[in-house]
Amino acid sequence: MMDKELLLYNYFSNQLTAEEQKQFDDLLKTDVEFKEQFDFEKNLKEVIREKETDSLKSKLIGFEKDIEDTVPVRELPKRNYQKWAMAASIALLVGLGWLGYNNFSGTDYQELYNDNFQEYPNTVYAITRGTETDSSLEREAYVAYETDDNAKAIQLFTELKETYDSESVNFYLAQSYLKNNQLTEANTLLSEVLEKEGEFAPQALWYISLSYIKSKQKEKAIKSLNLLIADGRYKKNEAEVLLDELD
Amino acid sequence: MENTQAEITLEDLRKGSDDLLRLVYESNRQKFLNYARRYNLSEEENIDVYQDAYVIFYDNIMSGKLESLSSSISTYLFSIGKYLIFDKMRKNKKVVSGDFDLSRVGETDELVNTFEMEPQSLTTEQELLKKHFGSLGDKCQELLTLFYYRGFTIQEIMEAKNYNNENVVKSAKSRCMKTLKEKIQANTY
Repeated sequence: MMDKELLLYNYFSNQLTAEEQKQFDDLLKTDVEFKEQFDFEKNLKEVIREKETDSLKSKLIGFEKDIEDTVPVRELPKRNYQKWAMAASIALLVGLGWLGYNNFSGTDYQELYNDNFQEYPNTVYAITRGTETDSSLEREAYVAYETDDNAKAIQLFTELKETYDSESVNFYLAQSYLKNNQLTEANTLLSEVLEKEGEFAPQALWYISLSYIKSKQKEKAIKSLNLLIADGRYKKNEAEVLLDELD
Repeated sequence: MENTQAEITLEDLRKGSDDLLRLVYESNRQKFLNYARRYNLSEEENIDVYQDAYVIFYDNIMSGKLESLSSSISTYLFSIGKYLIFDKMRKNKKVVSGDFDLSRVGETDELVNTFEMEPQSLTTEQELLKKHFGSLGDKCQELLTLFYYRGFTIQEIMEAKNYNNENVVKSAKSRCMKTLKEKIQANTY
């Protein structure tokens, strides 16, 4: 039998062999004193870890402060620049919109959709969570969604919806349908989300507007865009621009 | 800047000199903040996330969870940061808009899924231990930190701190542990 002290030493310097590990595990179960010493050292390790983490964190705050102290000189011109850039791009947008309006009598709905549609990112489910506890249907569905496997995402979200009919499942299933160009299915689900008036309601308004535009239902699109602007929580400016182009 | 990054090894990080910590912090900061901006958290929150990601990255190097650098340091920081941002958004029920780069999800996922992301808070017993550890002499604190946190062997401690031989290190460590235990007992009873 190996020296107990050496076993502990090897454990904490990550040098236990398989044979030693077995001895180590046996001792933990049978030898109270050994277990006590182990717990003590393990606690100490954790305490030191936390102390070092705190000290690192305060170093980082110090680095950040040093950076901030040098920044204000640069920040003012940048803000001005941004303001001008914004004004310029609005002017350009208005100009282009007016040109477009004058030169082409019909609205190109498909193009409006393409210019404005961008899938909503997964904000519900962090895929990086530990895999062993999370081989769930939910995880697989969001992985399929993030990797643009639309058919699979539709199938998995539909399955998920059977047992777990939540606002977010409906919303992301609708997104998957939109990405897969199945507008009718998407609209039904987005309407469900809208009725709930929950977290995703403004986003649902935006996407249902885009869906109406794509299927050339101008009146419906205008109505939902107006609702979105009135709501004001999401994509208000984009909705106003889009509305101008439709009118 | 890319070159300085490429030359930094895990060993360098383990040694953790303040200059290196600052270099890594500064050279990845702007890239990270640009990346995080798309999630519409405030700039202050983004800086918090960056610092937390940095601490978690470092902690996982020290605990031996990260045995070799298979990607650049910035990739690790991005992966951890993304996890933290999602976590924050879930807690805030935050709405996002703007441009998103989700193309690297699969790859980054693998990279950090063994990481310890949320350190446990200390138990009462550990809090007590922390207090007494802090009252030990600097030499003892340093020695125990090298062994239990930085993962130095007795021989490495001997070399790094100019002890005469391994036995001197061992007996110094035993003395420190004994003092620490005595302090705790004196307090408890």
